[in-house]
Amino acid sequence: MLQVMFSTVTLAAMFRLATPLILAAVGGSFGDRAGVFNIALESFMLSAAFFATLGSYLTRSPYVGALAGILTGLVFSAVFGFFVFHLGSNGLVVSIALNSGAWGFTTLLLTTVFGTRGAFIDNNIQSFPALDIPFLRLPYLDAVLNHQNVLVYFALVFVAAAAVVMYKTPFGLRVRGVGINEKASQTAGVNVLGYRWIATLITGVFVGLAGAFLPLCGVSMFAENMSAGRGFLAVAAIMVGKGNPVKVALSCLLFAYADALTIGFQNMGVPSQIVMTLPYAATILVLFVANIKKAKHADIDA
Amino acid sequence: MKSEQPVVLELRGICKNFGALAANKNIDLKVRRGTVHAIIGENGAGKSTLMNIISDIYQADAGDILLNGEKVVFKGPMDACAHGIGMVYQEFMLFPDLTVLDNIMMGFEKRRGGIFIDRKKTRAAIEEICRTYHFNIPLDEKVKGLAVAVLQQVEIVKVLYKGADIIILDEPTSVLTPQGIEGLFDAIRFLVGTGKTVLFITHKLKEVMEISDYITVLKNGEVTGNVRPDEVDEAALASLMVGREVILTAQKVEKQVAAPVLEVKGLHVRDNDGNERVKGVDLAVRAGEIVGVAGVAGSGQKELVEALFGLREAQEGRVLFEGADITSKSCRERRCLGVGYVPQDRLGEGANVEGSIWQNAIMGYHIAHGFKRKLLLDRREIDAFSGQVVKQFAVKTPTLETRVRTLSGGNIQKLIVGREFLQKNKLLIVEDPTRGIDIGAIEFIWKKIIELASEGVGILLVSHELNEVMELSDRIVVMYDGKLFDGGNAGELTEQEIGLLMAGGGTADESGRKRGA
Repeated sequence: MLQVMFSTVTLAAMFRLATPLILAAVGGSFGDRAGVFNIALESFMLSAAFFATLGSYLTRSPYVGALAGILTGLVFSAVFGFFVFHLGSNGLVVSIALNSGAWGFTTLLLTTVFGTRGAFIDNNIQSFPALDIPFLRLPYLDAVLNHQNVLVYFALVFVAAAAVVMYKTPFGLRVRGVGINEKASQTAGVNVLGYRWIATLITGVFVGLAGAFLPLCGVSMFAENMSAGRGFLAVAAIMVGKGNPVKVALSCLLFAYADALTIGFQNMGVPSQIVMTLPYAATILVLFVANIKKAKHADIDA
Repeated sequence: MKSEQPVVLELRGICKNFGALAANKNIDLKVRRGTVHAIIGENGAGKSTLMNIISDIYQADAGDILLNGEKVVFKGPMDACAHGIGMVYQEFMLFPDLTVLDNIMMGFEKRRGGIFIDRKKTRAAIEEICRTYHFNIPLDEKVKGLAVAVLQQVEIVKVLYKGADIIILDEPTSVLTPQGIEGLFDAIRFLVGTGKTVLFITHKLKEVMEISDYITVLKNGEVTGNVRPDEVDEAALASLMVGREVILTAQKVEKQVAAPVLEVKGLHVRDNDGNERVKGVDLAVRAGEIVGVAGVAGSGQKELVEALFGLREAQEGRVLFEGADITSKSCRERRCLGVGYVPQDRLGEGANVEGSIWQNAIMGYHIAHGFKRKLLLDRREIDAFSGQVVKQFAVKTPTLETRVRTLSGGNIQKLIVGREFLQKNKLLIVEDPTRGIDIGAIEFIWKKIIELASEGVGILLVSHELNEVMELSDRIVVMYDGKLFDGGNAGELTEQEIGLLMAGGGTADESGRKRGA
């Protein structure tokens, strides 16, 4: 049991599985802090995964695929922003519409563009390369962190960068201000709508990149409903981490760890039905613990 | 006295219409540098509109604004700000989860390397302002834990940081204790002494007389008077504001107080976050008695009232109505017994603003008092009752079908008060009955409260206006930090003494300027 929990395979899988979550959730933190209620990340991610596959398939370059994914995320977040900011739609309703729409949309495209059902695998789809980083060639660490996909490292750097932007720049301060008190931001001369838009588009860009990671992380394929709830998991991570990039990323790692454990436990012969519930049970547990802390904190205040 | 000062801000012939309503009609105003200029008027007199025109939130339909003798046209609120006009809103514009420092710099951050906040430089600039103008505020604390008087200082420092030369204070004293008000006035006097100009918006005449150098009175969007405080008295100002003689003192009548209708024993109540806000309250209200609860906003009055009316669960203690325990009874059961409630939040809780007059006139009593004819509403009886409310409480409305949203604040309040007062209630819980309504309506509601008490109704008056509590109550209690303190019978304690109780027995020092880091 312990062997599985601390095995290099499990931990390496944790980082790999956490990457799309971190990209999506930390990017989504900007929208969250700006007070935009957006749970359409799932749809951004799934659609981006499809177009990233298409981009990579057509050009044989994972970077063009990533670009296509980012653009898809941008377009979807722009659609979301247009409905919510300019047509006054409810963010929840728009999110539900986009989420259910994206599944049908990508499945339809899968048959019309690639002419297959279920999954599309082709040699033309090129994944991101793995990196060999010399100073990570240490025992244990080499197996855990080295030779990971280039986006895995990017995600970790992104967390630090996002934290700096959020807490050390006027931009971050204003985004947080807009989310806390819209009216007060207005009187401080902050363009509330402008910051909400930028924050929403940032969300789109990074959720798009997260979507691109899914087909191009090594599997080099697109499958129907490939995002499989990762967008929602990212939303949960944002809530647990309260939009603080570092805390959000840690929640993502935790979720990913539970996911990674399933692989090891399955090999141990634990019934797969039980193992498969692990990530979801972990999500509920994390939310539970986070809220107990909050309730206790309120008591101390009294 | 300060007439030799140059005019810093001048308005000429400002007009502003909202549809058919003329909010400002041909307003001329001259504000001299280094003076406190009070703008007074009833609600709806056009004070706020005028201030919003000065700070360029609204554009005037006609007229000119002159700054230091030169005509200016602002390109938006930020441009007005850049020209040195700073506004402190009645409702604070703060970010509870951010520190004081971040609150003040928001939107005006000093930068390092173009993209990073230079907190050190910003802090130095703000500390310099605090030193110059004698403010002492804790820059590193989060705003949400601070006292109201401190928050107001944060707001003033904020406009000074943005380079304000003319500071507009919109009803700044409504949230403060008498000591807090003194602190604010000291700050205003100091600011004015350094050459800043203060525009002071209020409807409280006593304060106007105390602090201002010049007074401009607005009524129905027009200037009805430009006076100096030494030329007039409060009564004269009131008549300029209202257009007739108003004496804002309650005329008490002789009456008998009988057995208690409400008794509260050892009540403990928590707020939504689980914090204990009512910490062991004992209280009794007798029939025919007006018991006034004074206190600074947020001392637990809200939770106390909600627990008394059944909107919030009591953690501990008992509530007795005419000797019977009603602690666990619902609002509806309490209404049936004869408990009436005028909530503080007129639009959110007191009325359904999308509903019609008659719907609102029976709200809460549609079952208790026989408006129901079997399963259907009895429109004839409803119309008769609603008509009575409208007539007896002087609610200005074209029809009973009119939507409540279209009425003015004073009229909505009269409707709510009428609904509660015309029922055969034995106990009325009245919360801030005159907040934000005009003097005429205040006078009217005060009279009705006293009438009702003389008919033998027990009244619990919870108000943030100390003046109101002192004028109306037979007995005063002061709420501070979830506990009640005896404020004596009417007239036993002075305003200053009650003010000390409101600030925590005179030990807590909310007087403003000395508090802080």
